[in-house]
Amino acid sequence: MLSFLIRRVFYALIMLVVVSFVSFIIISLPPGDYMTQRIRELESMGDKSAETRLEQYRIRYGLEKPFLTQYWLWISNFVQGDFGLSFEYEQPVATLLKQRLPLSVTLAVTTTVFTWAMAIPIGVFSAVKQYSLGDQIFTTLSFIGVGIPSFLMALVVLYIAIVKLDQDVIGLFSRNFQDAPWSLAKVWDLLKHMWVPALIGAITGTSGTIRIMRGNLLDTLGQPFIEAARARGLKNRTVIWRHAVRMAINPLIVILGTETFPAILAGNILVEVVLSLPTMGPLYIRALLTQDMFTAGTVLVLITLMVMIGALVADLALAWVDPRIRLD
Amino acid sequence: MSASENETSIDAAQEEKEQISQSYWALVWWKFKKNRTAVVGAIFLTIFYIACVFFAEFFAPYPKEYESEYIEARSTSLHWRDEDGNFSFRPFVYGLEKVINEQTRKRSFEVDTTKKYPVYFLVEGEPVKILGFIPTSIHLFGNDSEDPDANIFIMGTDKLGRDLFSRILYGGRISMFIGLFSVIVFLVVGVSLGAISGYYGGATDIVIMRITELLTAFPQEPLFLALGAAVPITWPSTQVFFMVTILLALVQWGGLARQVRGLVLAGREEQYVLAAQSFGASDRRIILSHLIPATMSHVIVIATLKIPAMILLETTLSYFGLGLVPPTVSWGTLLQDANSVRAIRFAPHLLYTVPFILLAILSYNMLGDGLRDAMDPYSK
Repeated sequence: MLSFLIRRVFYALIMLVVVSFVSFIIISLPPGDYMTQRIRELESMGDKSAETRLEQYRIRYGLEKPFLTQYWLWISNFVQGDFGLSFEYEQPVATLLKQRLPLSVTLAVTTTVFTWAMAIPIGVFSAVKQYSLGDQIFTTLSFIGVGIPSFLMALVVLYIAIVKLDQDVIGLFSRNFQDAPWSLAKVWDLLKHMWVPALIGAITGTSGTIRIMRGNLLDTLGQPFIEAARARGLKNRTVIWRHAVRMAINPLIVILGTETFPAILAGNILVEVVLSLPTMGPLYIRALLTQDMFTAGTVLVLITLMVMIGALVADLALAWVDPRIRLD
Repeated sequence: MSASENETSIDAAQEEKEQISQSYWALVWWKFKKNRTAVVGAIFLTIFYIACVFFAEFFAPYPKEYESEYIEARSTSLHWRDEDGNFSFRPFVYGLEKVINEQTRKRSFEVDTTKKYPVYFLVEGEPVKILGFIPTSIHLFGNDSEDPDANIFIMGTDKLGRDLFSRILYGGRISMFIGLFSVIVFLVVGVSLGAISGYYGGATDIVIMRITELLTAFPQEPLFLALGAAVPITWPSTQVFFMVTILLALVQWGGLARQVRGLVLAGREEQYVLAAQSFGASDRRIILSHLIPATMSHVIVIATLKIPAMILLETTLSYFGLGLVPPTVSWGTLLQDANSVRAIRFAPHLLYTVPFILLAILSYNMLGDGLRDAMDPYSK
């Protein structure tokens, strides 16, 4: 167990170094990024304060130094929590992330709760009542749900809300609460906006989860130990929820790990952008569009980190709930 | 009663016998035909390919860059009965007139019921070249009128007064083509690297597998967007087009390579490979004509299900301004016009692109699911 953990973490660290290096290459590829522009601006100003600022950047980011040195400067500061400067916002990237992280986390948690609250009961129902009318309806809906991309769904929702219902669904707050201090009314306002992206995320997430849940439960229900439980005279509900679902839910733990962890940082980037939420997704897209490389690079590496942590947590959690799995 | 039962059972036995004696592909076709959703998907795709990829010039009433003076006009609907209640079999459209709202000072185009233009099939219109080389000026439908006010915008116009329906057909050409083309690149890279990895094993295998792991370590969507952003904006549009196509394939080949590797690993131990080796067949020959064909039924299914994913990725990238850029017309660049609240509020018809994308994606998914079932014809 411990050796597995050490090996996995070690492996993840190596992977992370490679990933961060590749990310750094990708973000430094396009010419004309924000930093170059900013530096050119400073150079043209040419006064004392501009000169000192320029000198600071030179030392901090290793300008005019070889590529590897620049990468090393970036990553060694990264590890210490200094992600560099967002040249577009003229703020440290860490500050930007800190502003947006709480809302991203709230959204991710809400979406996950929505998803699971819908997917598990529907999946169980579909499997227990296989080929019933309800099962067929849910199967068809989930088939369509998997096929419909979330950002197109967001566009359609936006259309219905704006044109048909004349509702304000953009962002996470109404205009008058935007800069207001936190209060009960503001939380209520947040909830009134939050359900839209959460529901869209849940619909796409649910469809896949329903299909997995249904398939697994169908497999489990056919096994001898279920028959044995029924033969013992247990109530149908006990057999299904305590015996069958308990077994069939295991693969969903993997999904919880691999999807929910990265979702904390960038749940559904595309939906967030369409609905212009003040979360991480739009920050990332904006940074990519304006070539604000340190912001983009930081988000990319952090999401990848979350993917890795999620996979590790999923492995450990699976071993914990399913004693047949041995990690070594 | 019993006689007819006997007959049906004989028929069933006969049918089963015929089934068994059929070739693999005949069985696949037989099973595919029985799957109604898959056939519906295939039919829709055929329509898409005919109307968008091959003959968009003919099916679209206007050329893609034709700019009318009607800007962001709503869709003109077809009518059979006019204001006075006169019914005609030939549908007609009303003319449009410019209206300026005094309060909001917004300009819009309203239906002018005094002008009627009948709609005809196969009318003379703007000259175009089908697929770029067959000149014609015949369009599938339009209003055969010399009057410059006679227009038919069945899905409205965009911010430059261009007919959206025509542009959706032209955009479909690029989007469907990108889907197909990048899947071909995806297949070539994935299958060949997977086969090499599985056949040779050793250091080659390790290197290739580590690369696929690196690709899967990245979250797909963010990586993709970052790569899209790395394509320089200054490039000409055809170059961007090919770059995006290749990017689509390069990010995704890892999964395919792993599956092909698995199949080749299993296939390598088969006796026919041993036989080929003892005949002195070269590695290349064994891989190309023995091992890869054995993976084909699997690969075709993956490819079919990958095409809609590719189309969608292109749409996504372009929608967010990180993929194709105007003047290239694709479904993604068309949706770009609808990326503001203002556009959705005042020109919601720009969202007509969405159902087209959804239908194309759904059709491919239905086809792919049907193929997956059909490719395994021996299972019940």
